[in-house]
Amino acid sequence: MITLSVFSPFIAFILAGLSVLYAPSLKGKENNDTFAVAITVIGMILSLIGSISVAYATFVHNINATVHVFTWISSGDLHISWELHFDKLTGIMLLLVSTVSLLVHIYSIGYMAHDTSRRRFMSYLSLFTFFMLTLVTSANILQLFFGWEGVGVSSYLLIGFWFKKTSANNASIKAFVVNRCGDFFFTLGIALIFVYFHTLNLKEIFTQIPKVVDTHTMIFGSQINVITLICLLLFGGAMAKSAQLGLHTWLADAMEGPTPVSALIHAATMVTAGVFMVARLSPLFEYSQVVLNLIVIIGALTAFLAATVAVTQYDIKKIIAYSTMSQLGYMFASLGVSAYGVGIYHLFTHGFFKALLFLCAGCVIHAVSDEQDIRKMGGLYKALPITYIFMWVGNLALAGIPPLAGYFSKDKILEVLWSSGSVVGHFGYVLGTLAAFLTAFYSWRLIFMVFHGECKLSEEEQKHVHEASPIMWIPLIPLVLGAICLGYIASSLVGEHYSEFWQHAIFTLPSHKAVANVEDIPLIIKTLPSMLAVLGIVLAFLLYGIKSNIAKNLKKKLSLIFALLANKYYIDEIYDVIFTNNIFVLGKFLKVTIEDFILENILIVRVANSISALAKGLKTTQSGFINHYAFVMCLGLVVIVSWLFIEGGL
Amino acid sequence: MFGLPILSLIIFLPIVGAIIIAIVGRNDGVNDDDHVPYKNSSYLIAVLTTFVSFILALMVWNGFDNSLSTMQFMENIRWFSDINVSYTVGVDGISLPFVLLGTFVMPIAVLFSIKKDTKKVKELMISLLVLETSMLGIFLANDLVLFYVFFEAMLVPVFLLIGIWGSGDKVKAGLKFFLYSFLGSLFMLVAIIYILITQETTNFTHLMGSLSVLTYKEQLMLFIGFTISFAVKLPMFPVHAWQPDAYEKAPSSATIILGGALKMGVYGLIRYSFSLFPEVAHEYAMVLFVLCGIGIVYGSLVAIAQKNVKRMMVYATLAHMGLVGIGIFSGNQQGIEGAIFATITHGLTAVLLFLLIGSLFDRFKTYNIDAFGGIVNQTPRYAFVFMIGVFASVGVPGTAPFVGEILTFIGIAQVNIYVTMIAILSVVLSVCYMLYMFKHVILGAVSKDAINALKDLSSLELIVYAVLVLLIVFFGVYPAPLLKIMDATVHGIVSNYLIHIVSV
Repeated sequence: MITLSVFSPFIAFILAGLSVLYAPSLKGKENNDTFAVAITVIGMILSLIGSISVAYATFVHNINATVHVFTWISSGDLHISWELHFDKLTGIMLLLVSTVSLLVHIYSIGYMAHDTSRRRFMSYLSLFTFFMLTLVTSANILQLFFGWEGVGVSSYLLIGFWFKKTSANNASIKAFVVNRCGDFFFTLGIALIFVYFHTLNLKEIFTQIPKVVDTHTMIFGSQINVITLICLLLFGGAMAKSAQLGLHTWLADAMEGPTPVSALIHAATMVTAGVFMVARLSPLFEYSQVVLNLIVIIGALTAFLAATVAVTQYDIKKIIAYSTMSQLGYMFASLGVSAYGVGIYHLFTHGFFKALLFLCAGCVIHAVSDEQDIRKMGGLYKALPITYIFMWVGNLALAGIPPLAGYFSKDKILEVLWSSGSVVGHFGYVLGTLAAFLTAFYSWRLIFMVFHGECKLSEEEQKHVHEASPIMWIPLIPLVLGAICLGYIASSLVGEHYSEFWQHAIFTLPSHKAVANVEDIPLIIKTLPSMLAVLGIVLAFLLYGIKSNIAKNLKKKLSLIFALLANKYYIDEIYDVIFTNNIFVLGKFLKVTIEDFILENILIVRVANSISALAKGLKTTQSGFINHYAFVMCLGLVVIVSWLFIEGGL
Repeated sequence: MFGLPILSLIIFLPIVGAIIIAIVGRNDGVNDDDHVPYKNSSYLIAVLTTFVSFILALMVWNGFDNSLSTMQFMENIRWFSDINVSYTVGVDGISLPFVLLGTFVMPIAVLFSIKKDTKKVKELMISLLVLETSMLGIFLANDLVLFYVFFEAMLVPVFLLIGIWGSGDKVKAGLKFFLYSFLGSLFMLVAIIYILITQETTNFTHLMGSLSVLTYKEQLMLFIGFTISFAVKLPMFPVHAWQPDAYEKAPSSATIILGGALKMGVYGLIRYSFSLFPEVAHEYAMVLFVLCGIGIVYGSLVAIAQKNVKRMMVYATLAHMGLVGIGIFSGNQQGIEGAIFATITHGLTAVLLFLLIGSLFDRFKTYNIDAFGGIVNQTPRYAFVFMIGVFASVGVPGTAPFVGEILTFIGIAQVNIYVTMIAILSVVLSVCYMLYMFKHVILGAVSKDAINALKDLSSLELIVYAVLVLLIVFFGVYPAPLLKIMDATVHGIVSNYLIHIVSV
């Protein structure tokens, strides 16, 4: 069944892709993309069936198994196979990926209906799904990296899907390059794992940890524990993929892609790959307290800072993108206090309600003639009642209002942060709780600006405002249900039987007690995030819900801070100054000085001139040195060959 | 096999083809509308010859025993009676991949060698076939003198290909190539003569391991002699300056041979510099790491600054070859297998990309990146193939070069972590220029009227590109066939290396 789950999207991709290559342009024949659309959706349905059965096997029957497909790389003592591994962690991820992917596939049929490249779009979506599924089912770290890079490539293709737009092309390149920076660390980490563990198979790595745990190495003049070094490098990779502070700059730009892509890749699945990877490698990360602490700090800072930026954005998709970053920060923070199951739990619920929010945003964008600036919207609730209600559900779940999904998962993260009892844990709790307030605030700022107040669209555009077609809103229903109930249903993932449930998939050192102590925290700590969330909604209502100039005045008074936030802390600009510009300057400098001047002018021209002067001086030949030599060489070859044949008696 | 001297057949079949063309070949019948000059007899003979060579190479592969680390299909014929130099050819796990690559690329090079306005078709075919003979001789020779003969013989056809059928300032580019290679190989000639005098044999199999009787200083000098010669061919920084002009000015057919098949720098470094002088190779590995590392960073940065698409690809080659050099001198199985694998698969990728760029040049008569843009709108299949080439070139997992790269990284990581960092840096930097190039050439809206006139892939292109793409993906997912060939032989030279460095 797991084979079905992983490979049916791939086969669908091949078939759909071939249909594109077979007849690249549709040339007016609107309907002949049915084959590609149907095949990809069927592929996803099969995949979902496979995923459900795998999830059932792992949850109910507690099955852990690895299916060997065939050998991939074998060189010396390095042996890597294509394998499909499944346990509970895989089961959850399969369920999430297949479900959201299927719904996004269906949604895209409507969303991309007027795009002549719909077949290409669908095939890319299926390709992405295949890579994501190989990522979550891998039993060795190199196959994980295969999926990891594969989703990066599909993300590149989908962000730059509308390749005529320069901004989309630039965004896709940025996403690829920033992710490659993370992959630099990841690859180095993989290489070091082989050096110290002599294997890349996850199970074998984990069994050898006791042997390696006290090994140290020298790097840049300081001594460092090998496991810490490896975890640090792997986390570097995770930071890029999951858009954590420092390597996050690509995610907001990635919103250039079509909205279904944002929902699937940049909210529900790919960006959570970093979280998944850390959870998958929990036996390794457990032995590096330094890196765990770092993960909490980075995660909490990302959760908070991304939320502050989201407050100042006006692009509907960018608000949700920063919200995603912020939520990913939460997930990492929980991983850092060894509550891997809690992180995965939030990953799971978040996948549903964030996909819902993005797809709702897609409906809005469709309705308002591809406008994305929320300042130009307003009062849309009458025209878009279904989207409006769905958006409310998504936001309630996101803000963590009981009893929706986010309330269970996000508050659980804050609880384990507190119950970890460490300084970094408390730091994470404080920032996370503030971020919870901001989350509610920016979510309802979005709702009020888009759906309430006066409509600022032009007359022409207002005429076109319409509710999305059923093919777009029906797939949202499962997501809505998920956003409402999943928190409760899936709470067994982190409930009393936490350690029992996760025992084969996730490893936690007995000394890391955050999850075990979670019941003992004070009530105020438990309820504070929800109360602040409600406060956030109220504040958003006061500022944006009722007609007032408070928001404008506040913006003027805090103009410096506002500018800082609206420009995303100027991190992009700083990177441009430090890296991007300098690399081009350095490249040009090398080209002009060494390449063109030293190697070309000095070496070649001078040497060549002196040789030709010599040749002229000797007057050996008029036609020049080379031709003469060439002739001799040809002659020589002929002579040698014939000599050989005569000598050899042939 | 069937008692035939199959290796000699492979080596000399192209020469036979060339002689036949010289006698019966004609120059006419080229100006066919469909690009494919079916009517030209020289062309047809050359295509046929190179195809038969490839089939012979496949037969060798079929009869090749993966479990042996020694030379197979040996042929030994006494050459000079007074000195101990003989015509000895043989194939082992290191040379076979290069032979397969070479004989695979040659038919493609010949197929794409003629354009509507190509002059002197007959002479072009003869040059290509002579080049094939010398190339295969280089990879199959098992005697230093014989190797040297083929090594030098190769210069002539390449020089002629660049100088006669090239574009722009072609004679200067050809000269540059010739002088660099020739000067480099003089050092090797001296080294070979010294070995012949002191050892009284130049047979490679006999020399393996026996050179350690020489003093360390002697070995060092010999090592330098060989390595300089191969470093020029690789090319390694700073002796790469012949490469950009030679590649750029050469016609596509010669570029894909130079960049895709004629990997004698890599071959020589493994076969001679590394295998014959393990102690020196170990002692001076750091020097080579530094030079290769500079090649990676320098090549990538200069590639970023290029406006000329083909030169950009050339500097990308410099960076790739730096990575390969690092793999070779890491001295362990993963590193060396990674280096060979990366060479072969980057060769396939280079063939693909240089052909694609070459077909643009045929239309636009320029390589300037600003002249293109939006090609995907007109020729989606071409764009798709180009995209696969770009992904392979940057080493996306699932494409073959990734396997070579990751093996190289794993190999070097066992030796030195800082060099590993530089090596891995290549994959970050390569994305910068390759995607930039892809964006400017292929993506975007149609920017020039000329682009609207582009035709998508012809059926010949479609077949060849499909084969290349499938191979690139196949070896990315299932590299075992290629890795198995080299496994035993590489294991042999690595064990030899380990014995020597432990004894030092």
